[in-house]
Amino acid sequence: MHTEAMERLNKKKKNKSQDKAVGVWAEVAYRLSRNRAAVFGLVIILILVLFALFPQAFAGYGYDDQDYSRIFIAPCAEHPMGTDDLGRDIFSRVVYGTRISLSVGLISMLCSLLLGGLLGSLSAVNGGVSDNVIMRICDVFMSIPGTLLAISICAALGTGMTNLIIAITIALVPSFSRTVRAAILTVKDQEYIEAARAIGASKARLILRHMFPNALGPIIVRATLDVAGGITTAAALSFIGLGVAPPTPEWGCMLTQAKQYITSLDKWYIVVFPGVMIMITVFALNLFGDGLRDAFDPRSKN
Amino acid sequence: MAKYIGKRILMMIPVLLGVILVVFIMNHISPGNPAELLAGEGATDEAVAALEEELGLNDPLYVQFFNYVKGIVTGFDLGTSYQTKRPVIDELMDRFPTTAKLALLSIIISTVVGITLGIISAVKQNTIIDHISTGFALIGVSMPAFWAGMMLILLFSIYLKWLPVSGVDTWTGWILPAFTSSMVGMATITRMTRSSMLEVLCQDYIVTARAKGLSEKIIIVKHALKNALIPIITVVGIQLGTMLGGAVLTESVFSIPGLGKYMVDSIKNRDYPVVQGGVLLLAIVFSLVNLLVDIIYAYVDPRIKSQYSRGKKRAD
Amino acid sequence: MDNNEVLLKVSNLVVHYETHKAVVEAVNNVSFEIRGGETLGLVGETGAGKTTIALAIMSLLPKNTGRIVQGSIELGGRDITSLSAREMRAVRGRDVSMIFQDPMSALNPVMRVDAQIAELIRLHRHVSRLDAARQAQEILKKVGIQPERAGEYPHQFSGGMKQRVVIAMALACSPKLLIADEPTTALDVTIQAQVLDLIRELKDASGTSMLLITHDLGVVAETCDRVAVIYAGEIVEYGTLEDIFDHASHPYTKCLFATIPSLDKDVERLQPITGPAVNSADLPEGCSFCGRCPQAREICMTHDPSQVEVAPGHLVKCVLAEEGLL
Repeated sequence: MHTEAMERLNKKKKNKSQDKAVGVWAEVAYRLSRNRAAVFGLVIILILVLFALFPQAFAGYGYDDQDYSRIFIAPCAEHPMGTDDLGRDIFSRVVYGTRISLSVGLISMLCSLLLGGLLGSLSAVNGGVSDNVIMRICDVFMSIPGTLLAISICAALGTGMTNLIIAITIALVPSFSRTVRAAILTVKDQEYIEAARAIGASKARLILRHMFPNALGPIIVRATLDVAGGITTAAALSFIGLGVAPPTPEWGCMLTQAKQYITSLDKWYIVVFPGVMIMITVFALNLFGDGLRDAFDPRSKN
Repeated sequence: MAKYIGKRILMMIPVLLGVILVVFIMNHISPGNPAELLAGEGATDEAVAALEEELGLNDPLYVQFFNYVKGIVTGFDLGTSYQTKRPVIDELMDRFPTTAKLALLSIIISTVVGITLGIISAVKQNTIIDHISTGFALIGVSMPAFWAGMMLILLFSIYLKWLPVSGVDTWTGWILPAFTSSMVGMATITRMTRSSMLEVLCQDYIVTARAKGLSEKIIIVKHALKNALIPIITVVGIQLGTMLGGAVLTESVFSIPGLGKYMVDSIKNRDYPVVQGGVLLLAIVFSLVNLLVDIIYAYVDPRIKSQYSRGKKRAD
Repeated sequence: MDNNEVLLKVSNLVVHYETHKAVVEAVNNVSFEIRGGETLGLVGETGAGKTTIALAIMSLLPKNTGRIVQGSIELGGRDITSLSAREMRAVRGRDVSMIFQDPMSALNPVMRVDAQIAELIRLHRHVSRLDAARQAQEILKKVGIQPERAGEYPHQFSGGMKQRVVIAMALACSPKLLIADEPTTALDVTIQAQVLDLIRELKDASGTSMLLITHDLGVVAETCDRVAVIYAGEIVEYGTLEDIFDHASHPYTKCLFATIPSLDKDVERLQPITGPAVNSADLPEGCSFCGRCPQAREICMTHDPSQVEVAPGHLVKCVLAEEGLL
């Protein structure tokens, strides 16, 4: 009785739980694939990732190849986005810029995911004093508007990509911690967690095996949207002279330099294209993030 | 109600102290020796040392922090500008009204337009009107405001020549900056209103309201909107914060002589006390706005108010 | 009261829910009548289409999906399915009102309860604000809510109290017809009887007819004059309270009674109805109950029986009735 029957039962259970785990993700993927806007966003993101990984393959020039005989050329076949005041090909710079913006956004998101995930789950699981302390600290950081906090940190630390990432991470962490905490708290009191606790599952097991997978939906959505937020903030900081400095082809940084030409209508392309790239990137991430949210929580759509 | 407000104000104090601590730390790790920078290029070592002593730079950190807080609480002392050698607070307050005006104008525009569009979208869900307004909202949240401002200048000031490129000397000068800095808020509020309304519209009490024979208009305005408003108010509060932060960018795009442009100029001049003082001032304003939001919140949602008032307990 | 004239006459009502995936035939060819002052019980399990019938009468079917495909609903001789939205609004709340299942969510959380009732009174009686407020307090008093609590918000009341508010609201304009959709299901057992008594008392006092939707046969026995047993959107048995309780004829009705514990009979086990309820998106060709029917025969699979009057006013929709075997 004990051996064979139990084994069969366990096997059956195991298969079932695996089926279910696969089922949830497959379901999300299916719903996502049915969402045309989200798929469109994903395609754009993938193209941008290709830009970031292999800029040489797309850019006709280096990002700092100056040619004073070819300054201010309007968009044409050879320079699809024209050239700037130093005769650099704007399209090439914009392609190289993808690498910077995407990595700043992605790294900041990952750092804040790590830090915020840690703080948020500590807060949610332990409760009590540590919850209170962590949440009050988050309150402090959240009562400084994100852009301002990033400005403050960047001003203190100085320019450069690392400092930019640190600033954006710190600006993202508090709200991320809250998202994680809220997500875990909603699953914490569910009956299946009670059940797991009742059969004596360890705390680590509770968090990793039971709470995290179920709380993952809102966290993934948040992370996607935070990449977009990070990219915008990075561009904004570079635009006001914090963050990345020239000649790095960061999009915000390109706009700072372009700003002086805004009064000459014939040089519109200098001002337009870097911004268009920011917009397209953030737009695609938002489309995808919205799609993810609907896919994780089909009720939210209606 | 007074009790609720009192409690909220008390809760705000430690948060503000925390904010001051953050800014203090940022000030402290900012590059350069404040005494040297204040004394100027040609100052003797003795003069610098004397100034160091006067500024309390030799005191232990916690004493410095204590004095910093004391200075802020008793006389809004945010330090002295390296550039003009004037008190930072005076410099900031000279420019604050302009920023406040811009933020207020933008929040009004974005709230009115955002809520209206959101309601229309929700009520006409999945129609062409809904798709257009949600599409615009999505583009709106995706555009960096400072770039959108530049595009508006290019279109309305340079190409069409309808509006001034920069400055707010005439009322027409306010149009583009106000629209620029309200854009993200407008889009966010539209999206929030839409989803909040959609959620409220499928609640049972809306069916009850229909069963009463009320007209759709009354159901939407009187029953649905008031319930949907609760999350919207929070978003409006957060957006005002975003706008105060965004002011830094909008003002520098449009060359508006407000707090934001001053802060950007100070970043370029490495006038750190001004930058950090500006951050602190705006953070305090933001906290006050949030206090206001919480009070409005309690006014709209009776459930929150009764959490704080005793005596009237739930009957069950 | 049986001599009163017919107040509500539902004839051949068919309601579909249409999504892009499927058509759910929620209500199929349902006909019944309610006379003045009378109470009709609509009995059936979850998903049988009871609430859909109620919403169809109120003209509150989900706008995008629900649709009355066929049939008429006459209220006081007037077909209300053909009314315009504006005309229907004047009917709702004044001539027909509804008590919903879940009092917890049926009240607007950000409006004082007296204001929610006064709003209704002002709308249909065209009285002054002050009069409406006074009338709201009066009706609240009738359901046992004291004036000093009338100005409170829903979250300050218990579930039972909230349902009293909902009842007060439903009866505020003395409607001709009250639809009560499982009015006691969400409440504690201890207060179910109180609330039911209250509904009965108030409706008798104002001469209101009632359509009571429930799955609780005990509630039916206490409250109803007539009963319609509904299965998969069809009325399978229809008759007076005695017809149904003492001469239950349809196998489904018999099964329903077999699921209730009884004090005077000594039964070892209660008899559950086997198998899942039928899927209204995919109804069988024959009798919709045949898959679960203990008396099903081969013909039931392909032949959909029509209603047979087995005794005056007692209708049964079953092959057995068609063949005179009952």
